[in-house]
Amino acid sequence: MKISCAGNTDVGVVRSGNEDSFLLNCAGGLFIVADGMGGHAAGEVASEMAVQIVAKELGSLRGLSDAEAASRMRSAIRKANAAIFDRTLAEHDKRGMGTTATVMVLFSRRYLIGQVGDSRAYLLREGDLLQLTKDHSYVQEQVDAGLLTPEQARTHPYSNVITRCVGANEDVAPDVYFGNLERGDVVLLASDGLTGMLEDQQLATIMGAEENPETCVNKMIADANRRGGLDNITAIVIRVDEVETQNTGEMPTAKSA
Amino acid sequence: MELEYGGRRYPVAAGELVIGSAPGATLVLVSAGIRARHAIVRLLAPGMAVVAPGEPGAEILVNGARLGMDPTPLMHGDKLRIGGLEIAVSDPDRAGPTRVFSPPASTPPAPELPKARLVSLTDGREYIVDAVPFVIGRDATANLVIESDLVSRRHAELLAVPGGNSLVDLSSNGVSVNGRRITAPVMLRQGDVIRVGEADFRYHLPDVAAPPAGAERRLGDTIIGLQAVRRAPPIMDAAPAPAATEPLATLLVKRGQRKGERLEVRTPVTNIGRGEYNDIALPDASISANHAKLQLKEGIWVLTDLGSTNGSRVDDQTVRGEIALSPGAQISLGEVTLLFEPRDRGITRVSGTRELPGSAAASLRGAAAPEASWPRRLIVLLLAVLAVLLLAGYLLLR
Repeated sequence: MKISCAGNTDVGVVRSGNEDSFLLNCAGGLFIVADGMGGHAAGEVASEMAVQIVAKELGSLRGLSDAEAASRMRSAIRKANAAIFDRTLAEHDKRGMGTTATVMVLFSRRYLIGQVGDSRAYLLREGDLLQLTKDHSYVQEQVDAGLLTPEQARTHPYSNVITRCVGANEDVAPDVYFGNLERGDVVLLASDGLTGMLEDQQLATIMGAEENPETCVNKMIADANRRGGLDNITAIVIRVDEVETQNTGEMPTAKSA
Repeated sequence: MELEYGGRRYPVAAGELVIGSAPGATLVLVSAGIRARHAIVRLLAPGMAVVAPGEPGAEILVNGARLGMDPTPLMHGDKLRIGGLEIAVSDPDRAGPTRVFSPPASTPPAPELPKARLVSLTDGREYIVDAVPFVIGRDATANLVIESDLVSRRHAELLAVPGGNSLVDLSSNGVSVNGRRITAPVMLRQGDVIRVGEADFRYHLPDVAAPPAGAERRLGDTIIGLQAVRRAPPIMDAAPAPAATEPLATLLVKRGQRKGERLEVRTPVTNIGRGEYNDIALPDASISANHAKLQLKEGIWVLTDLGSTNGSRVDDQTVRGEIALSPGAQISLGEVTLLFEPRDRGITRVSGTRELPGSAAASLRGAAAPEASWPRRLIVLLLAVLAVLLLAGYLLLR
């Protein structure tokens, strides 16, 4: 599979520090967005730890079955969770820190996503934008239970409450998603500083209009800032330029594998 | 005040200064579209002049903006455009005390971020507001340096806020916006004139889009909560479709803007207030942002006032703390009156006396009342038995 990709993070307009971290490994097909939380710069520490540990623990997925790859993804995120949680116990000023994690691995024509929290993965295919991940948030659960409409969820008083988080508890249960990619697909991984500032339709318009992933990322960040930039903004855009007609069995390797 | 055209200066003195094609005009301009008396400049006070068209239809642009018939103040640094010719407005007393200083970029600005600009009305120079905070002052490290004894080292700051910039006064001599000294931070609007010392700057804001509804709350500090409801495993790619559930209760608006509307209460805890993030948002000035909370507590609906300014009443009783609601209760929040109609079956009927609005305790007292009559029933029974025995004895003995 031939892809082009770009990623960037921006502090936004309102916050003083950037607690988002991301990893862009185009050659290895590994992408991570983590949105940290917890005061006194602890959020930065949590998101950075999550990115480093998940990348290291994932290692090479070469030759693994879907089930094995999913289990490796879960265990990588859980290891990051354990390491962050241990630090919250050991260091007083790191109490309450945690992070979201949206991890995407590409191999042959497939993608694998590990998800905790409310950062998101989207897929734009033939003009339609699909949200690949489901937020672990209070309002999302209320929507699923039929108690809130998606519109009400956006303006709900608890819309800033997430229900799963890497590092907040002893253990965490990541969701795992699989799917196939087609030529021309555009994938977006983003923190809520982007998805909370731009509606899905606006994201789809930019993703559809900007061919170059780098311009696409910069345009999204600029638009989120123009609407007020209320939180740190991180975006990774991956464009699928070509897919093999036959499975070459090529698997990704994380950079530190 | 002076006008500058073609290398010549035309002082604006008391009375009128006429710009036009007529030979008698102070500033004679000959070009297509220029009328005989095209523009009139009047001096109102030293340093204060206004311009207005001399006849209807005469086109004048000030800094690119077309003027109407009303006189418009002219400021130092303004550019007048008449019939394609440019005339500069200057005030020799106020020329050139500003210069820009770009401090080493510690936080490089994000690319493509639309920046506000300050345009000096002293010399027409533009300053991009690209630092946060953007400092105006006498100190050499300020983003915009004004060399004047009237200006403090850090005189004022522009802060980035959603939708633009706010201006904060840090000085001893004060900062004015549109001629009025500010006493608290103000949100700047497109075209505002900021005066620092004796220098005026016009604030220009590129079009700024508003954040989507609710974004401020959603993107506030993230809180890690507990999993509140158990749910079915996530279904990929399926758009979440909320079940069409019956409302738990409705509130019929009897007085207020949305009169006649039935507002639906769909969750066991429903926040009511003016803030758009409430479950029921009532856009009425008499209602506080977070006004009241409606809650189903162990089968009883209760209303809690959340410290609102104008208070809450239920059936004309002021709510202190929480109050139980009976079906048909009249809830008044500020100037808005709502009729409470619960839909849930068998819940409120448990305590369905009309006394209920008092408090939940009232219903408990009501329920306890039959218990109090037990001794009386016993006495009646004993008296009856006694009467029967007496009657029987009388009949037997007879």
